[in-house]
Amino acid sequence: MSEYFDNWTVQVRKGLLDFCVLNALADEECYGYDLVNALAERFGLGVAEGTLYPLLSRLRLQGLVSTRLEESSEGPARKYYALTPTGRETLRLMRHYMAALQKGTLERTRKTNRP
Amino acid sequence: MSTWTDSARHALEQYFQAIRPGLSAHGADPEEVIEDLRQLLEREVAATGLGMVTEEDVHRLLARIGAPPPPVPSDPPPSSEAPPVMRNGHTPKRGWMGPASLLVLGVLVPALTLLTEGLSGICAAAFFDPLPTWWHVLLVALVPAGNLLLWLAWRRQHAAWAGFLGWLNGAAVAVAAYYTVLYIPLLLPGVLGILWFGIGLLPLAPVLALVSALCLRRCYRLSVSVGSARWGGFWPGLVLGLLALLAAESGHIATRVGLKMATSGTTMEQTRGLRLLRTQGDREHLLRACYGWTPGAAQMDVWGRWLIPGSTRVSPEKAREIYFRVTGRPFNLEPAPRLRTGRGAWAEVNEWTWDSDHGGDKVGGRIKGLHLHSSRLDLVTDPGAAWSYTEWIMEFRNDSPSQREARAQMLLPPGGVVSRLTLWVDGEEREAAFSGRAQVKEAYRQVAVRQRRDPVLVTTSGPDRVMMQCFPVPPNGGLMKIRLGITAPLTLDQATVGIVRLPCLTERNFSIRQGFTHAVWAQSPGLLTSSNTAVTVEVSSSGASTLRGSLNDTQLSSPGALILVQRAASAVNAWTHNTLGGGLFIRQTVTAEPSPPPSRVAFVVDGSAAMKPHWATVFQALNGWPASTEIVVFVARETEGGDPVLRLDRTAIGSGWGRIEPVGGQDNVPALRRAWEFATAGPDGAVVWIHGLQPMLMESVEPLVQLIERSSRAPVFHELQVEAGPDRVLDHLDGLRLAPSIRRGMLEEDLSALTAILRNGATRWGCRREVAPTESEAKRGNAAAASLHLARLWAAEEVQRLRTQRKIPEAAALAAAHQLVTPVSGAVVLENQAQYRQTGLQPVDPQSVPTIPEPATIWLALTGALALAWTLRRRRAGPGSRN
Repeated sequence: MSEYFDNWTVQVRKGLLDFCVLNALADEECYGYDLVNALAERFGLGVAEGTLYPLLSRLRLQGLVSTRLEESSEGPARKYYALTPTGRETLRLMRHYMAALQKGTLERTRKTNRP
Repeated sequence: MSTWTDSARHALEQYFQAIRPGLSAHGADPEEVIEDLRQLLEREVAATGLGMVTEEDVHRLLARIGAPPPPVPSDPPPSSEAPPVMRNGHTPKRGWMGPASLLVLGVLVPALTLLTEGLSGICAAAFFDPLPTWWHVLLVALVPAGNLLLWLAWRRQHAAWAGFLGWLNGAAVAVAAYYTVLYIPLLLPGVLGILWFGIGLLPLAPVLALVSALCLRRCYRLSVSVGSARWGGFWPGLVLGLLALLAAESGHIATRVGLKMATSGTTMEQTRGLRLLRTQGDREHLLRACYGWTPGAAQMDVWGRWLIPGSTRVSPEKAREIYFRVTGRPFNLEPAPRLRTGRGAWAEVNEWTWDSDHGGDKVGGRIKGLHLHSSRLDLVTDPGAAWSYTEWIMEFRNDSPSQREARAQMLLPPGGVVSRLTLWVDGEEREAAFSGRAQVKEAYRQVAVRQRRDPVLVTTSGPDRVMMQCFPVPPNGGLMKIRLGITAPLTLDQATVGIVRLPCLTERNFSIRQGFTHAVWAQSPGLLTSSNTAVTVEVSSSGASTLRGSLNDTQLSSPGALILVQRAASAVNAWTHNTLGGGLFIRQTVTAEPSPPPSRVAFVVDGSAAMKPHWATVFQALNGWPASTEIVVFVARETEGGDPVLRLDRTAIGSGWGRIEPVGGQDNVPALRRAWEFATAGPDGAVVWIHGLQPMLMESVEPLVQLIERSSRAPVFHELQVEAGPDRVLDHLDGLRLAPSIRRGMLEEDLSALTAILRNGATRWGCRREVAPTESEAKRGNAAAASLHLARLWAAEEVQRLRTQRKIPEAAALAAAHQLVTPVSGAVVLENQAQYRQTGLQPVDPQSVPTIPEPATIWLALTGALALAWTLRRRRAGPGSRN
């Protein structure tokens, strides 16, 4: 049973990765390493940068995020990611959907648990 | 600063190369991600302080930064054609159904097949027509188009139109599945063809397209679609595709079901089948069934074998009957439906017709490429002796690539008889042999069908009807020329007017092209007149007249194609020395017999669709009869299991007539039988049969023939056919004592004249021909000398008399001696003496055949010319020469 649950959580995380990345970028722009940390801290998602880059590239191509390069004193220039207006609107819709989903799921749970 | 080994750099570049397609498939920009990863690796290397970076370090670092996994090592290097890495981890199988294969088998092969069939009609010509309408073409085109769009969307990872593509894929699967079923009989030959000859892919196109559509569906769903198990649109698309196919095939299906019902055992089912065919059936499909199917097409009949349970292919003969019952028209008024063919050799297939009636007794279907090339009718008449002789010369041309038999049924003038038959062989005229009917038919079959040489055959096929067949009309524009000589009595309207009705074609297996005309030339010592505006009459100072003109086939076969011949009322008697029949003398006397009105009249009215325009006219003729005449109407009608004959007594006509709806083609035989029984129930009965075409017999005529032959009473029989064409009922009444009425104009006019005669009585004019024992007896009463046509007419009547007395051999001998085509004799022209010897026949002496002008006229002209020449010679010689 726990194995099934573990698999399920993996699938949920994979499914929610886009949502979490957009959420992480909601308040401020981040570069790759910051974003990895933010995902781990705020959402408990352990995602490596190598996994994140393809996703970010896709989000950029879909017009949800934008990038900019900034010179860094610690090494090569850093690529910062930020939400575009479309990305922001998409995030709003995603949040609304997630809230509705959560509400429905919780109501169902309450009814099931009612004596 | 770290140093990278060559193998490390190579491994990294190889990794980047390997993940590139996957990144594309994932929707990312490969260059951007690879650059990000490259920089990340540089940072990691710098952070770890590696001095030398090896290949192992590269793999380790890549794993550490969580870089996307490369494709499995066994896969070939990615290329632009490589399948994308699928979102949920599925990788498309790289078997024979790879992207390239799916493109070829799912798009190119079906598209090529559609194009090939559309241009050449190979399948349509050899088996069945898979694209009978543009609607079918569109549906078939949907398959490669749908597969192509889905293939493109899959390769480009385009998810925007997933719903639409789902519908399209469903519809494509439905169409491909339907055609796969249709082509099942050709699947095995197609596979064998590929294995043995390397060709045969076209019959496999539907099944390949079907498999490709399903494979594309799976690939797209796994790689591009939203990732859920459900990809909407497929099932609705499938249902839509099936509905579209059903709509396209509805006429075909209705025809199949209708044919099945129409050939069932119960009358009710048959009638329902006919109604279904009438309202929903596909007329072209029905017509195609009438012309028969090639063996290949019969084998390919998936619809008949599987799709409609119990639906067996009907024989052409049965299909022709059903066609008539549905439409009321003979099938051979139309040529076989065209097939779609392209260019070159396949174009000829379209001009080919399967002639299932070759050498048979029926005219059969219209043959493509065979047509009447020229036609001339030359007519002479002797008003005093009340006969006419018409020579009809016809040339047939065959533009098809194979030899053809020309067949036609001809309507002769009332009482007419064929007295000459000529065939041109290599430009020379060959006269016919006249003999017993069976003997000449067998001779024709031997020569025409088995030896495939040059004969022409003429036999009777009903009262005043003959069947002509000649073979072979040479292919590729070849011509065949024949001549029929027809001797006929003048139909006397009164003592001073005789009527000649020109012969015409009632049924034919060749075409008559638009604008074709029959050249008519008639001569008479007396005045000729005609109501037909297409002819002109010239009258000489001596009173002789020439009528000539060009009539199209409709004009020639219309009731108005009559020539009126003025004659002297004093010309009562005529005689001839019958050198054809043992030196007898034949004497003819014009008679006028009173014809009292009948006490009972049975009207037989055909309830076929052809009668619809005349329904009110017939109703008018049924009213206003004197109370002394008992009249009953028998209507041949279509019912669901009820009585096929509706009997209306005088009181019921008014109320019942309007309720009858003439429809389809009706069997008139039961109504004729009932009418004959009614007419013979009392003295002085009459039967009036008003009808459309009767190209098919739906039941045996024998009970009717028996009734006519055996009844003690013989009612007067009047027959009015509303349009020119075949009448199989009359064909079987050949030689019986019937007096078909001569049509003179519109039905209304003829019916009005006939009912006036039946109500009030009339004088019936005619000619009595008999053998005179001596010459003086023949010449008695200032009888005028006449030609041998008088003897031929006498012989034709004598043959009928002998036939009714069951003296068939004597009748046949008499007919052969007088060179006549009668119910017991026929005429055949063979190509050479050897064929005549082989068949035991002897052609007639060319000097004994009737000609235009007559031999007597030729001798007269020759004598005059000699006298003129002698006079001129005497004048030129001058007075001295007299000494």
